[in-house]
Amino acid sequence: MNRGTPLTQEEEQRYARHLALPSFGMEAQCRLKESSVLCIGAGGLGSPATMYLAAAGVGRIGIVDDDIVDASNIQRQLLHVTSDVGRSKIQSTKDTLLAMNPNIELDLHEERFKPENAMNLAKGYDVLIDGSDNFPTRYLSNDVSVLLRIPNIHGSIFRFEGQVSVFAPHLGAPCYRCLFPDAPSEGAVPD
Amino acid sequence: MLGVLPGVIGTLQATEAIKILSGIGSPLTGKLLHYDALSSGFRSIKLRTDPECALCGNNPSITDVTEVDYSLPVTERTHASITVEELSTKLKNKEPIVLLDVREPEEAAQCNIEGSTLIPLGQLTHRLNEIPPEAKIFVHCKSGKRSARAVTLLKREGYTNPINVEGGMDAWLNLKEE
Repeated sequence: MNRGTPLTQEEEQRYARHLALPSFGMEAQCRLKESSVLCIGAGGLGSPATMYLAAAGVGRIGIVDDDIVDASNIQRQLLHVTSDVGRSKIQSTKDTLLAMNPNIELDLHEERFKPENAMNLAKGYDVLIDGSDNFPTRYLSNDVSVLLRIPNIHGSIFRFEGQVSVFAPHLGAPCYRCLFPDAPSEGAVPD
Repeated sequence: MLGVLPGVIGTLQATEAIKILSGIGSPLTGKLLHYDALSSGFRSIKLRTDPECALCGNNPSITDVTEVDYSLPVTERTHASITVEELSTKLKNKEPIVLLDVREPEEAAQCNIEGSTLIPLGQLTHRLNEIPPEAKIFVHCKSGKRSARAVTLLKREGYTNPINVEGGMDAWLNLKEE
């Protein structure tokens, strides 16, 4: 684990509650500042995930999404507001996250997460967050994170239920394919 | 989908990321945390690594993502299938086919393909008498997964060559939007 980057005075004020937290403090906060996350998708899962990471002071956040904000997204995708309907999700994501925390660095990838670009997009990040809403992308983000040896923080939701796990074979944990080698039955792994 | 639900799950994902990155606590590895909003319950399910895993097992066959076909799960590919474009043509030409919709009634109420017969997957075994044995059967659901299972079931019951509609209603709606 790296030792982290020193905080500015403004950051010390901003993260005061973290800094005052026993067993978190300056050391953990500096590590956050030094670290990076790639989030696949700026939708229902990607919204709270990236917003909290931005607010918490994670130094570099990458987001991959090629979608446009639809009126039906606003009910749950908090990165985007009513006036964003019709805009690209990446643009409204940028506005929201920088308004929350201008200190962070954003890597905005307005493209689909595909086999052709996935390895290059994910390379260099400390952690990958799977905020995808479909099986192909879920398998792809799993495969990429396993091959790059970075933890894949999986989340999925269906109707009234959801699930979370950290897939990381390099840490002795299973990956998504250990659970569902190929075709999961309908409902077992909701998308 | 209940709008607040991804808020809960996405926030848990952020929590795990912060723990891993800052080096505090123990990460949610080897466990699946399941949340049921209706019963207000969290359950933790222990997970095991699979030594036969094609990706992280002892003899991995997946080493390059550009060589993997992510388009459809394997069980769907092993069935005979047609695209929604091909289906659309068959319907337009009024070919004598049975189009079987195996989604739930509430899904069919939102959108359905004209002329389809609705038999939810869970009821299929009990309602086979509604499908003529000699019919040319095309099966669809929302995405192509349930219909693939329905095709397996129909084959097992002796139907000759039931065909899966690739991508299901999702693909159909995309086609109609274009």
